[in-house]
Amino acid sequence: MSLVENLHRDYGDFKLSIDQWEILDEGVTVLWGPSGSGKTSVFRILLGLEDCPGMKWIYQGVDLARLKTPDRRLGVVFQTLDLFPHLTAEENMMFAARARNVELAKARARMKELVGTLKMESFLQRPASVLSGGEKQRVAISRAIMGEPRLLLLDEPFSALDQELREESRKLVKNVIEQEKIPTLLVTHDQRDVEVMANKITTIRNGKLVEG
Amino acid sequence: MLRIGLVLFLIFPFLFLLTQFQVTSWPDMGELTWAFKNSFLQAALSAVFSLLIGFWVALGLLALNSPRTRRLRFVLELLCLLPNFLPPIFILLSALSVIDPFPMGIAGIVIIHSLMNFGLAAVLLASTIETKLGGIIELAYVEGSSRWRFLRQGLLPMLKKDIWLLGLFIFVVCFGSFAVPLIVGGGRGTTVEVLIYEKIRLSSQWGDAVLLAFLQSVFIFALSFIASRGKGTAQHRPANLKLLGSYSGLMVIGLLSFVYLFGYAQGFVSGLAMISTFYELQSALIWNFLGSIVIGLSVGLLCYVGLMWIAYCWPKKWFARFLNGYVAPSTSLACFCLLILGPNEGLYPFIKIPLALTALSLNSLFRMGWDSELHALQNQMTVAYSMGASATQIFREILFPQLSRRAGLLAGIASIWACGDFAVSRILAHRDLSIAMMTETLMSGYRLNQAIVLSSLIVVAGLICFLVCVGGSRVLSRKFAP
Repeated sequence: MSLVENLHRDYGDFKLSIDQWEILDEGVTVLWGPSGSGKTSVFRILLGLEDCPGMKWIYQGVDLARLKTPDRRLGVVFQTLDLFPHLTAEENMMFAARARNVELAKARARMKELVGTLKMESFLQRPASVLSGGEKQRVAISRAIMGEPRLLLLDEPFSALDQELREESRKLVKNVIEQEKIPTLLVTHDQRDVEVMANKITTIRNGKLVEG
Repeated sequence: MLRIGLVLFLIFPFLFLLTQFQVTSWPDMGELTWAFKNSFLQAALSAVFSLLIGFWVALGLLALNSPRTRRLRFVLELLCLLPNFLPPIFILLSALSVIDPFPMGIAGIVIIHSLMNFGLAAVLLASTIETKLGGIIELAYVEGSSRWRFLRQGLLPMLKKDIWLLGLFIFVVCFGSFAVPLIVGGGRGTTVEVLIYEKIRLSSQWGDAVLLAFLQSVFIFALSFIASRGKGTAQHRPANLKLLGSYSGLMVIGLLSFVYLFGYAQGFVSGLAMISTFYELQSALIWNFLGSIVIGLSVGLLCYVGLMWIAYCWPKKWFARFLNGYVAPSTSLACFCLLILGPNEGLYPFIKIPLALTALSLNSLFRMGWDSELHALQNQMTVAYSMGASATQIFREILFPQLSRRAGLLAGIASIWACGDFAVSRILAHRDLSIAMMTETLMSGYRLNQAIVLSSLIVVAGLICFLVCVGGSRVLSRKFAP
């Protein structure tokens, strides 16, 4: 378990108030809540993109909250996926490996594995700007994993896909998370994401956790 | 450090002059009030006329919103924007050639400023109306509203804030304008900017000049701060805009384009008859043409580097706030600051003129789309940063390849402005170094048609510099692609 403590932040018209929250060390912890409940704010605070003085996040004896964003070694997929459009799928993945100084041979081997698991052979050399929604989503997940993160953070990663693709993507992502054994935090408002992906569910409403 | 370096470069004129010259006494209040009144009046009238004509023209552009007429609309928008992007010397020459006798003073300044800004106002208004009100206009049309009723009760109340902000933007631009009041202001239309120039050039009253520049900068800064607020994005969907579209707006584009295009063409043809008078200037022409190219290319290069410098330093809140709130220093003040710094003979003007033009243009280029380019890449930067990428990796692999072409385009525009500059060069050089300076010399001597013929060389020089900047940026973006 990693433990988040004292996650309190006042946005003026909205307050986040989480005293304690446990995130699984294995499998997928889902933070579920309706729109405007504070999910994305929690997500950004955990990433270090927003300040939250006084917060602690103890993961394997390290307080991640005291580290700068890049030093937290987190893999991230935002709702908008944000691939680098001028780079190919492969270059997108290798960018993450270079960012974390992963050895080239190791990175290539890892990429090969991910390409196989997520069935990306056919579009690996295509620029990200011309990939379909489902393809982009798979590249985004692989890119997040390529940097050998401590934890994977996913913010509504399936919301941009149509219904049929979502189902397929959930299975693929679940599969790759299990295979890579990376603890994952998934933020979503979609009940189906919870059903398929969750090993633990936490619900958030009006900036407060209502069940843990 | 890089951020601080850029900030220091931009505020250098203010810092340098404040340390060099002490304000010992309050300047002549009557003169100051008079110059402020002139600046205010010309800027306010220019904004009002630009908005009024711009609104009419916008209705014309909205009449062309079907896929069939898209290309025509694009051409007309270019025609509208041309006076805003061309160096002021072209509009000055055209207007002086068509409107004879030209009303020097406030009226003259307002005419030139309105001619320069109506197109920008029109294109921005048309785009705002389409993106913010497209659906509502369609609904009002289906429900049988009259055009006048919708304008009065729908469009104007809903776009009140946008129109105010656009007006304020034009006001700020005109308030700080230097080249136009210098040429057509005459004795009766002296603005603050021209008064600063006169204080330094004619009476060497540096203390007064610094104080005037400070007051003007505070005023413009306050207005820019208001004008930069309240920006919003809206989704655009195709909508039927028949309710608002008016072909009479297109006639206005035709009429005003006629003023500056026909004026220029007419002067050019008349000037060609006197081409023999240029023979004695052959040698000067060649050297000054090369001078224009050197100045244009140097400014292009410096602006390209400056824009990339901003991109490298970008993801920092205070830095973005500084750039959004920053007001370029008074033209004459920045120039005189460079003038007293080091020698002014030989090749020095070729260093100082590009530096001054870059310091004065960089902020406009930033607001002309560089800020939105950087904002558009913000998410990619955030992802890369979260993944642990260093600032250098983010710049080299993410920003540079995606921004190089745009930077080249903006640098190219700056190089065209530089080729057409005469005001900055006139302060920093004691003799004519470029075609624009030669043109201004002819214009000041009332040899208008010859000046127009000569100014065609500015177009050639500007085009060469523009193409080099755009082409160079493409080569760089390919060469350094990851």
